[in-house]
Formats: sequence, structure tokens, C-alpha cells
Amino acid sequence: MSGLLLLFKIALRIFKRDWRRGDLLVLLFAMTVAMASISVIYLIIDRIESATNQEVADVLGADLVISSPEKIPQEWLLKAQQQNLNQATSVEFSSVLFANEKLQLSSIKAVSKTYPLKGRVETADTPYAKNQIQTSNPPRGKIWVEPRIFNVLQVSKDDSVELGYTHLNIAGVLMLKPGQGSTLFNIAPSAIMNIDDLEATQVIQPGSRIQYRYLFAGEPKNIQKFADEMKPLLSSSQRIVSVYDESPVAGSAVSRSKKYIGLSSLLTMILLGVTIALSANRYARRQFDLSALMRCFGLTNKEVMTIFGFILSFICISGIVLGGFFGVAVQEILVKLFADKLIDNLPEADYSVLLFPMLAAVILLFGFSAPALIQVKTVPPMRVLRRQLGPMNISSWSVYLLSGVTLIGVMWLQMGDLKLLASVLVGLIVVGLVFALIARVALKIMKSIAISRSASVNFSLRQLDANKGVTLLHLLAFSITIFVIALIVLVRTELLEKWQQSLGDDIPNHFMVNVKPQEVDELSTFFKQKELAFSGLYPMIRGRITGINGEDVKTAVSEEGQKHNSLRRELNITWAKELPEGNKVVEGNWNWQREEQENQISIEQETALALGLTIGDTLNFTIGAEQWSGKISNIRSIDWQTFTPNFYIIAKPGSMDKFSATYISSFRLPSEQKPVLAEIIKRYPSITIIELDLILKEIQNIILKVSSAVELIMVFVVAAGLGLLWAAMEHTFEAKFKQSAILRTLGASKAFIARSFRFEYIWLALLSSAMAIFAVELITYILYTQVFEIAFNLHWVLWLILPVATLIMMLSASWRGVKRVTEPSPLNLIRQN
Amino acid sequence: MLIAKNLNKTVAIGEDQLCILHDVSFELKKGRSLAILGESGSGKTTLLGLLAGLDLPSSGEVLLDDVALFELNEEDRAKSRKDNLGFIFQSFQLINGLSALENVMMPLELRGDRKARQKAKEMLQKVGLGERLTHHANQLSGGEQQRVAVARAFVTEPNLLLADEPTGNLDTATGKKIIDLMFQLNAELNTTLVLVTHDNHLAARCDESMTLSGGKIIQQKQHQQPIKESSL
Repeated sequence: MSGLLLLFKIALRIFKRDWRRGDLLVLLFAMTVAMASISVIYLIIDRIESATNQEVADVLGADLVISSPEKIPQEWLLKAQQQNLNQATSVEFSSVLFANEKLQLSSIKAVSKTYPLKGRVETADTPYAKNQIQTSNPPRGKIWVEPRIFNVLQVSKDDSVELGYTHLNIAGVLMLKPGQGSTLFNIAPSAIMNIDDLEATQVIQPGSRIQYRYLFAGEPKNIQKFADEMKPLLSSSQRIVSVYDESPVAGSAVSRSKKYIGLSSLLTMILLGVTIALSANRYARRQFDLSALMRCFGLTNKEVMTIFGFILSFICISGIVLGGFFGVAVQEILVKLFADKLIDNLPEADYSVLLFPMLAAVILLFGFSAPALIQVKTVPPMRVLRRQLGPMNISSWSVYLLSGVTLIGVMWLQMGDLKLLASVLVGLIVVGLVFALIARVALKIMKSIAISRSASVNFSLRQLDANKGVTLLHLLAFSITIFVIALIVLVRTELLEKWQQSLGDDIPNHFMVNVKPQEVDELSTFFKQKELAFSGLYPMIRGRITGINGEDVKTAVSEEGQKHNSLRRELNITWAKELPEGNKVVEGNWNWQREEQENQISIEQETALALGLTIGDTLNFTIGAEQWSGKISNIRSIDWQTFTPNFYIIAKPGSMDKFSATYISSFRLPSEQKPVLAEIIKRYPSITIIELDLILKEIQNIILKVSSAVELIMVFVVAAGLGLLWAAMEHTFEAKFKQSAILRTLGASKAFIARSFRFEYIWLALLSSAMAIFAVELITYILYTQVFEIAFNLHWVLWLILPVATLIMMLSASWRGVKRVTEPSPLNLIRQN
Repeated sequence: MLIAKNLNKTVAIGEDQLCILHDVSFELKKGRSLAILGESGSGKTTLLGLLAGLDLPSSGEVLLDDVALFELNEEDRAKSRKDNLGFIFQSFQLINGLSALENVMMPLELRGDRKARQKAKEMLQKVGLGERLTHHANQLSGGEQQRVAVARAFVTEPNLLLADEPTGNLDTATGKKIIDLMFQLNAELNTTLVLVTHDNHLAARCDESMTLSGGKIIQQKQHQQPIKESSL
């Protein structure tokens, strides 16, 4: 029999023995929970992400959209065909529609038969009447136009409108189309026509400003593959359109939820890593005698390691099989119980995503068990003669460090969000160091004040200090558990609150643009009569950035910067005395400098970054036919999650007086008051009303989905946290059996022993919750300000709730264990002799 | 006065009944010492456990200063141990992580003795560990650990001291010192001493000895003139 086979057999025998004795229970449990939790999280993330992607696709009109100012090469479309992707094309341009001797500049979309691939187009027979869903593009010779065109051109359904050299019949009122959110500030109303009629119009001439949009839909893997192929081929004027471009609110919610999910996965991994490390440590300690005995029998260190390596592999395989099974089952049950109610048509689970949980579980088990295994290897054989001989005092940190780094690498590959990963890890390292320091000092102080009249209090305090290493380990495990649970619940609550704000009942669902200054007062009276309120009336002027400090943008801005949205189209510029809601000055001062002669402007943070602008730079604009410049006096961040008009550029009041502005405002209109819109259009034909209520519903669906994902994932992180708490508790009971027996032999009552152990848990609970609060505050500060961009405030309620909840949790969790350690007869202690 | 009356202990092993102790009776007056001898499995440790009230007999009784141990409930038996008993183990059984001083203070604190620290220090000085008060178990040699255990056992001046092969884990010279110490304290404090041993010489230092075999007393001896010095 070969040596390795022999060792395998020995390992199998030990594994069976430990299984029967229950020694493997906690480690196997930890491994199973690790695999199950990660599996559940990944399966649910995958399914909800697929559902969210579908919703996002509805907003985009496709799974992937490439926008280009010229036709894309035919090979690209062939590549899409090879990936079995459905395709549609839309050509977008501005042109004038004529009818009844009236004209209206419109944003025309000429679309192919399959448009839209995702989402829907809704039309009505008359403005604001009942909508019908369209399943194809308008037939040849037909056009759908927005309500405002009906009003301005004074046309109705089936009337003819002139576009270039052709006439098209109006087939209906265009009420909803994919990408409606992005047209918020498009002053020109939209119309959709058949792409086959385009040539006949002859409006597209060399040099015309056109936007080609190529829509693709198909299997997510194929879409991803196609996107990866396309990205390097895109020129600086071509881009892949994201949900951000179409709906910043939905885009932001999706992006934040992805970050939250990433954070949850990371924290779960950390929790499970600690759980496995603790359980492995406990298991290894139980193997010291056996290891010494095997060494006495003549096995080498390497052979002992091989045996335990085999045992770990058995645990690993069992854990992966059991955990995978439970993960899949629990995920199905949970989805049936909760997710189905929240999400219609949840896509089927793709079990190939389980590969990552498997890899993570293997790394977690081997990485975090290695230090414990090395301890087993270094147990001196003399232990068979002198039991008190323990393993050599080796430094396990290098091994933990190695496994930690491997895990971080895997997480990074998976999450792809280095900033989030770094925020949490740097925070945790700082917290860990501070924890260790505070805990050591606290233990010293606690021991020195152990002069209570209660022997149980004294004993508990001395015990904590006596086993500093173990106490620190437990403190770390407990505080990490509490910290993770608190953090995940807190971030979830604040994210949901934030989203709820953007979905609240009072948020505006209609925008009015093109309001003439003289119409403002009249409109106010009209709204008052209808008991409607409109808010935030902003003047608006459209301009294009043409230069920076007098230099042409084409040379002044980097190639990457050229791709930024702000250089692709006309921007809406406003002026304001007060800082608008949802805006925050991040650099400079909002108060406009009175003495400054030059025009002053405030610019949005991301735009400034993309264009490489700083305070003091001058931006040159073309407004209409005129040139205008403004010096940057401050930089603002904008909360894109609000449904209020947001502006990249805000000018100092008075500096744009020479331009005639129109006004923009938003208001909320309940669906039963829809006829009011027709009345507004009739009274003020030049006003454009943008209805966001339908697109809002789409966005609400996205947010609902990501919220339920966040909720479900929180449940799993909390479950993983409780798993760790259990493992840590089991770890603490281990040492208490012997203590309990000694104390009982000395005459201590069971009540005394239970009391002193519980006091230990009380101190541990108070210390660990204090440390967890510190960590939560520090890490939420980093996360909120750097990752989620949410305002940070200290969480005072947590300072009260956390210690109380921890006390209750730990005392209840320790109840059975404390009882268990006081039960066995101390006679066993004598028998050990 | 320690009295054991017709102690029987039977345990069930599967369907069979195994008799561990059979009708064991003896009396030991205050301040006297008794050695329990016997081969492995003869019932010595079971008897020691019963004398300490750590286990219950199948039948019979133990009277310690006229108090019937097995008429007490578990908590009261624990209280009786706290008030009357000292224990010395073969493998010392110090509480890990606590210093020598804290280990010796433990039984005093359990009694609510407010001079625990002072008394523990004095006792440790008496056993020659006055310089090792703050040392933890893992910083002490085997002999020193057992001396801490002896100090912990005697510090409450117990009526009865039970020792289970107290020198089993020690070298000969150290074992001799420990035994001397035990007998010295036994004499000073007039403690009744029961010790389990395999060592006939050690047994000879006791006032009485008893040999168990198969759970029965096969021999009981009164030593008219116990050996004063250890012959180890």
C-alpha cells in the first residue's frame, strides 16, 4: 500500500471518529453555513440582478445600446449576429414638422421594425387619452408625435404632417417610449417614424447632426461578450449607453444596490472567515493529543500535516455539498416566500454562479484553518508523557495574512470595486488595531478594579484578563459580528430611506419647460385654482461648451474627457441666488463674489473632474449665435436621485441677462387630474410638458427590486453573523468545562459558576458592543462619504440599542451553554488522573 | 469525624450492572489520616468522589461531622465542600491564566472571606512560594504547581482534605517535599486527611490504611506508629 493511501485511510478513520464524537460539528457547520450563505447570496443576487437588468433594459429599450454620430461598421453588426443578438436601429435628428401652415422643431426618431427590443412604446388617439401598447414601429408613411405637436400644429390623428420632402400621417399620440427619462430637458418634442421613410424625407445630408442608436438584446453572456468586444473598437464619439444616461435615478439606485451587495458579500466572507478560523482552532486543539501520539508512532511532521490536510478536504467536500444543497434549497424557499411577491417573473437561477462560492469556501476553509493546522503539526511528541505541553508558539499571523490577501484578491476579482473593498478593509484594519489596544487597556483596568464584594464578579473579571489571547479573540469575533450586523442593517435602512424619498408620494412626476417669463404669474394662478403646486422655477438657457480658458475644447480636454456627456450636447444653464436642493458645494464658496467683474459660474463635480477643471478656470460657451464665458467660482456635487431639475452649470444671477431665458419647473399631478395637461397645453401652446409618471413607475420597479435584494441579503448576513456568534460562543464554552469542574470541587455552587460565567459574557458584550459602535461610526463615515455619497450623522440610537441588544443576544445565546458546562460531574476531573 | 456507611455504587453498562463499590464502611476521626490503596479499577477514585459528595452512591451514606452528605441536595453538598473540604489532584488542576495568588484566593473568595488576599499570601509563603505570587501556572514547575494546589487546599483550613495521588505527576524528590508539606499542614491545622495512592511507603505515613480490590475493602490497617519522615 502506498504511503499516501495509508495516510488517506488513517485520515478517513479519524474523520469518522471525529464525526461520531461530534468534534467536527462546529467546523462542518461553519463550512456548511459559509457555503450555504455565499450560495444563497450569489443565487439571489444573480436572479435579482437579472430581473433588474430586464427592467433596466426596458428603460433603455434594449440590453445594450451603442450610440454613434455615424453609421457603425457592418462587421460590428455581424459580430452581434454571431452572438445571436436581436437588433434594432434608430436614427435620431432634429427637424421641423409642418402642418396647417404651422411648424414645430421636433426631435425625430426613425426606427426599424424591431424597435424597441425591450420596454414598450405607448400611444393614444388623442393627447392624454387611454394608452395602447405598440408592438412594432409605425407602419410606413405613419408617424407618432408627442401631445405638444398636436397642439402647436393643430392636428389630430390621421392628419398629415410634412417632414422634409415627404408627408406622413399621424398614427397616434406618442405617450411613452424607452429612454423617456433622458429627454427631460429636450425642449423639442419627440416623434417616431418608420426608418424606411427616412430616405424620402431627404433631411439627412452630409454634415447633418444625427445620432444613430443601435439596439441589441439577447442572452446576458452573449451581450457581455459583445460589449467586451465592442468597447475597444469604439471611437471617442461613440459610446455604450448605460441606464445612467437614460435615467440617472434608476442608474444610481442600481449602482448603489450593487455596492451594497458587494459590501454584504465582503462582510459575509469576513464573518465566515472568522467563524471558520475559530472552529478550526477549536478542532485543532482537540487534535493535540492525537497529533502527539501519531508523532510517537513514528509519523513525520509532514505526514501528520498530510493526514489533517485530508481531513480538511473531507470537511471541505462535505461542507460544499451540504452547504450547496442547503443554499439552493433555502434560496428557492426564500424566493418563493418573499421575492416572488415583490418581483414578477423572477428569472430562473443560473447555478453556474455557484462556482465562486465554492472557490471562496475552499479558500476560507484552507486559508483560515492553516494556522490551526500548523499548531497541530508542532505539538511536541512529549505531550504523550506530559499533557501540559502545548504546540510551539509559532506566529500564525503570516499564514492568516496570506489567506487574507488571497481572499481579498478573489473578492476584488468578483466585486471589481476596489474603492469599496479598500474602504472596508482599511477601516477594519484601523478598527482592529484600535480594538486590540483599547481591549488590552480595558482588561487591565477591569482586572485592577476587581475588588468587588462579589466573588463571581471578581472571578469573571480576572478570567478575562487571565486569558488575554482568548479574550481578545472572542472580543474580536463578537465585535465583528455585532459590527457587521449593525452596519448592514444601518446601511440598508439609510439606502432604503433614501430610495423611498425618491419614490415618495409628493415627488414631482411632470416637468414644464419653455415657460415664458410673462407666463409665470398667470400659471401660478392657474395652478392655485386647480389646487396643484409647482416648485423650483428655474430660468434656463441652452449652451454648448466650446472652450476652456480660451482654448478649443478639442485640444484643452483629454481624449477620455472628450467622451463626457457635457461636450456631446447643449447644456442647460441656469442662474440662482440660493444653492438648489440636493446640491452641495464641495470646493469653493457658494456666495457669489459681488466685486468680481467677470461672469461667475458653478460647475458640477463629475463634469469638472472629467474636463480637468478647477476653480478659477474659465469656460467658454456658444449660446445661440453668441459667445459667452464664465469663471468657475465653486464646484458642486449633485444628488441625482432627486426628481428636481439639476444643472451642470449654474451662473451668478445677472451675468446672463443679455440672453432671453425660458423657465423650467416641476409639479406633481395625480393620474385622475390628467385632463389638466390638455388644458395647460391649450392655454399655453409653447409650454412643453414632460410626463414622468410612466417612467417613474419603471424606475420604481427597479428600485423595488434592488430594495428587496438588499432586504434579502441583509437577512443572510445577519444569519451568517449569528452563525459566527454561535461558533464563538462554543469556543468560549470549551475552556469553561474544566474551570467549572475545578470550581465545583472547591465547593462553588452551580449558581455561582453560572453567575460568574454570565458576568464574563456581560463584560464581553459591553466591551464588544462599544468597539462595534466605534467601528460602525468610523466605517459608515468612510462608506457614506466615499462610496454611497450619503450624508453622515452619528447614530446615537445605536449607542443605546447595540449594547442592550448585544447583552440580550449574548446572555440568551450563552444560557444553554452555561448550563451545559455546569452540568457534568466534577468527578470526571479526578478521573482524568 | 468522617464516617462511610455501607457505600455501594453500581453502574449500568448496557444491560449489565457493574459493581464498582461494594459495602464500603469505615470511620476516621478528626485530625487522622487515611490512605486508600488498590490497583487500577479497584474503586479508589469512586470512593474519593463519594466522600467529597461529587457523586451519589447507589446506597449507603457518608457523614461528615454528623452531617449526612447524601441527604443534602446538590447545592448544599457544594456548600458543604466549600465549608469543609480541600482537594489535591494528581494533575494539579490550577485554573489556567490565574496567578498562583489568585488560584489560592479562589476558595477563600468563594466563602466571602474579605482577607482572602492576605491569607492566600501567607499560605503561599508557608509552602515556599512567597516569591512566586504573581506567576501563572505555565510559569511554574510541576512541583511548584502542586505546592500551589496544596496551598489552595489548606488555605481554608478544611476539616477534611482529599488527595488523589498527589505525587503521581512529580519526580521523587519533589513528591517527597509535597508529602512532607501535606503532613506538616495536616498536623498544624488538625485536618482529617484521606489520600488515594499506589505507594505503600506513603500509605505507611498515614494513621490508617485501607486496600480496595474489586470495589471491596480487602484490608484495613491501623498504623500504631506512622512513619514520621517520608521514606521516598
